[in-house]
Amino acid sequence: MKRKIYILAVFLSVALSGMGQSNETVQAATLYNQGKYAEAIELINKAVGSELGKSDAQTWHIRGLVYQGMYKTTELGVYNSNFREEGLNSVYKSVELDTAKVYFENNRKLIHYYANSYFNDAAKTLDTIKYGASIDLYEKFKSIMLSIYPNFNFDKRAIQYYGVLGSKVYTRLLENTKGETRKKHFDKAVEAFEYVLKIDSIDYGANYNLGVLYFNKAVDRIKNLDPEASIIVINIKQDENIDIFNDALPYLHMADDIRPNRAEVLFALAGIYFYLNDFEKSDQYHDQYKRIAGIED
Amino acid sequence: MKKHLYIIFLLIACFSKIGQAQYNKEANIILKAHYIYNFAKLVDWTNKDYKKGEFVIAVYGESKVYKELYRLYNSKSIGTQPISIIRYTNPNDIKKCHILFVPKSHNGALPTIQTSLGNQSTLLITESSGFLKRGSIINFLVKSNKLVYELSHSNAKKKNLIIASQLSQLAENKE
Repeated sequence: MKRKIYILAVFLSVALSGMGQSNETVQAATLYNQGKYAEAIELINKAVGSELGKSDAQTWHIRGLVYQGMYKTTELGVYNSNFREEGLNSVYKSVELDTAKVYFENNRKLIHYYANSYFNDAAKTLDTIKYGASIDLYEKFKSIMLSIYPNFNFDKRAIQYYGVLGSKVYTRLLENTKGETRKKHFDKAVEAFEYVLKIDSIDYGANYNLGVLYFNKAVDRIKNLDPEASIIVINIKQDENIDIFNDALPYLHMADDIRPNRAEVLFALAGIYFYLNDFEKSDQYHDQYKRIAGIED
Repeated sequence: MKKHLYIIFLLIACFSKIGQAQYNKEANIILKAHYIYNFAKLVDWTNKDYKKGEFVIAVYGESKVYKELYRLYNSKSIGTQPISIIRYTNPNDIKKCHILFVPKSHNGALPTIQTSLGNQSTLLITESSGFLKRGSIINFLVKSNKLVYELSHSNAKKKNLIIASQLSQLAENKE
């Protein structure tokens, strides 16, 4: 319904304004209203190539709409869609030409649509294979939003985005790698969670994930200790591991404060204190964990 | 459509924990196994009978240390002596072994174990405070969250064992 009203408005606007629009613009708007986007593209491209159309804000706005229609019907979800890119650039051109701000609100709505489509694609590509593209798409979303809302607050989206980037991308990547690559993914995961905590220090997920990330790192180091390691090396590794376990501890305690009695947190705390050889505390958390998880002795 | 996708993303974000902490007690046991292997390398059994044949590392009773020692070192050697990891469940069954680890849970059996050992050159390892006084040669302890060990030169001497300076230097206490 909303779309029909908007299409009608575009049609009337083009048909009635008369000034500045080429015949192709009017025809393209008509085809757009009929959902014939491929044909509309041909005409609107002729229009923006004409003397009359190339400096007309409305013609460029319609081009943005036509390409949006084409994108939605043929390339929705294609994260490197050319139709979307062209459409967005057309709207920007319209904004640039629209010194009287006649199309300001319509252009802004259209840009907002494009921005959200980039965010959605950033979310969809947030996996261990396409994450590079995802980061670019997220940055693109941010730059588009800032172009229409210079003071836009990204905190909520950043918490979601970087939380998933840390947990579903970098943590999974590090699980399947070794050496320097593993270290790189670990550092990236830490960076992502710390970024979330910089925005919201009491975000449960980031605190829990960061705690478990450090915890598992220390356990992996013990498990992968060279069986031929000398007593000096064992001594040094133990000291380093204690430091890593101590790095994990504040995040897990914070997670426990934010959401008390969560089984996964109690389990992790029991584990940390066990590895720190504080068996009294370990047993205390483990008992709590068993109670919450419904595990019988 | 865009709202639909955004909701999916929100759901992913809400449940995006990275999985459970890898809490299993084996990791601490691994450290003990590493230490015991190093003790084997850094102690000299002066009795000639102990310099040939298998190098026997024994664990008394049910202990995960046995499993880890077996997993990590059963196919290795100390010098030219192939390592053999064995377990005793009865003090009377204890035969010649280079190392015997008695876990805390079996402290009660220690007097009988020592009787069985007699004058054998066995490096007795325990894990309870004050056990050097009860004849143990190396005793595991926890200090400032760290697994450490103390050792008794006098108990070692009684068993004709020489402890390398590196092992002695890294000991938390020595007597």
